[in-house]
Amino acid sequence: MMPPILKLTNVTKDFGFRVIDNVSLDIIEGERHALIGPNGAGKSTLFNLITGRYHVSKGTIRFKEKRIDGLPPYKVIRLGIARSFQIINLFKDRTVFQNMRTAVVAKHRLGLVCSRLLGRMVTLAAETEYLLDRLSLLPFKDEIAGILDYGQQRALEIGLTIALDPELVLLDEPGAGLTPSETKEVVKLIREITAKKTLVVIEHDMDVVFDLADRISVLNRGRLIACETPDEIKKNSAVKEAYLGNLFDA
Amino acid sequence: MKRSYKLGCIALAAFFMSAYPLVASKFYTYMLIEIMIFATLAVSYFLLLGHTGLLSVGHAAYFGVGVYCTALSLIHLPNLPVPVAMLVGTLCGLVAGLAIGALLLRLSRIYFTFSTLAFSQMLWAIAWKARSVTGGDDGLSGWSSRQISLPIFGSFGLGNLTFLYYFVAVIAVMSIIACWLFTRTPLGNTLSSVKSNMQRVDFMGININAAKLMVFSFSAMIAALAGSLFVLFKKMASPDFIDMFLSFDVVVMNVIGGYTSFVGPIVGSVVYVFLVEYLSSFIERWQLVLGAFFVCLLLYYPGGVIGVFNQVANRIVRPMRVEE
Repeated sequence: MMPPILKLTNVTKDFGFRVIDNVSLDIIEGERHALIGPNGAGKSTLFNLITGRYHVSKGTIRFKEKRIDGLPPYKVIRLGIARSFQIINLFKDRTVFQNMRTAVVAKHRLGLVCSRLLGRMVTLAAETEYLLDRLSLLPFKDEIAGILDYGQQRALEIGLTIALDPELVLLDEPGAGLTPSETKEVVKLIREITAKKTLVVIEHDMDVVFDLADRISVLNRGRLIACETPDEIKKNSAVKEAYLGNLFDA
Repeated sequence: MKRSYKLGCIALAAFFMSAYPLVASKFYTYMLIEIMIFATLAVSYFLLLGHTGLLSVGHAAYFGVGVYCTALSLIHLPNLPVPVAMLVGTLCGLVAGLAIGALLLRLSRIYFTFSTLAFSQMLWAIAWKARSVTGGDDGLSGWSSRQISLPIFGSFGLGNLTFLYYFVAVIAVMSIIACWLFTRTPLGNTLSSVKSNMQRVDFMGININAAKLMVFSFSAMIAALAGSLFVLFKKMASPDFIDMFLSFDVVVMNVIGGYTSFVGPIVGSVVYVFLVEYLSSFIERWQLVLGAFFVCLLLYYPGGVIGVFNQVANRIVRPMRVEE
């Protein structure tokens, strides 16, 4: 069996009270993994722990067998992890093009050496436009990101994450606040642009979750109560009691 | 603005600046030299505040480092060519920027702002108290008879105002262009992203502290270059050139012109120097009038002179577009 690309071992986080309680989880390379649970279960906190925004109180996090807990976010991201945010987190006063170009420059890890960047300005612009085209945002490239409609902002948010060309993509509620038709578009987009990548997605829309995920983990009050295939999750009584209720009962 | 208009404006400005010392009086030539040096300083500060969102109130420190290091080089190394002395001053500014930036940039918001002031005042205190090195409150002087030798152009004394004007103009314009290029590169784009949303930049794998240190030290270097020009222009070095009032003047120039636009600090330095020159010749308490002007501008036109210009331009251009 392949070693997990991401391995959480007994991860605990305390903020004076326990938010994440002894969570152990393996994410297999190439899988689409959904993280679900009621509000306040600790899903976003888990993303924050993985990406270095918060430090773990106990336990370890390994990415491709390298320990990453304790690293600052920029170092975690450079290893090949990228994340989106539950609340849209763009450069709202900058144009769509400038938003994406920042991500493209970051992806190439050209450091901060001006001469190297100057030499690649043309290719960076072309790559930025290519990515915007994939997101169907090219016609809006000169628009200020903050005035795009919500669905487009969400697409740009996901685009900024994918532009870094990560091996592991963490998407935090990509469907939040979208209409059903926008959600369908976003799911389609996620499928397209995360092909051949490992995906972990937090989502409350069960249609999206069961449509996308190969495996589902369920968090409740900071504890991992299940980590199974979608069909097994539908039948899991603990999950039904904590979160799903009788959603899938015939 | 259309490209042809921009090129036209640049050509007009180049013609104006080239012809200026040939037709203007000594007083106005003197004033424009001062404006060019302050514009360079103000643009270097724009890289911090307007472009990266770092509110420093100690920018005079790097200007002062440029002033004193150039002055000390000119005094203690009499055979050192003047441009090399300027280079020494400029590089010292870069080193000061790197050292101070490395310490202070890990602080955020108000802590950063006040520590820049503290460092600036420390350097001012050294300039004031280390009399054996800096001359204390008497300052340093003694290089007014030095010549600047340039290939092709030959040698000119620092007392030759017309030559000094062109010398300052070339270096100031080149420095300002360097700053503009800095903002236009993808690196510049990344730095302004730091201002827009620091958290997102962090989650793009960019080392924010390294990026901020880079802009901070570059800005310090340009400020020191402006300081080295100021030494040649004033032919003296004084603790006044490193004190906190100069740091606040730089902030005021940026705000008057419009600190979110690259052109703003240049316009701000023109307005500021003119206001100070004219107000101080007519009114004894000119600072009161300048202060009132500053407050009114902040209250009613926070975008500064450039903001007002843009508003007026929009009112004129928009109806014209509608008619088309």
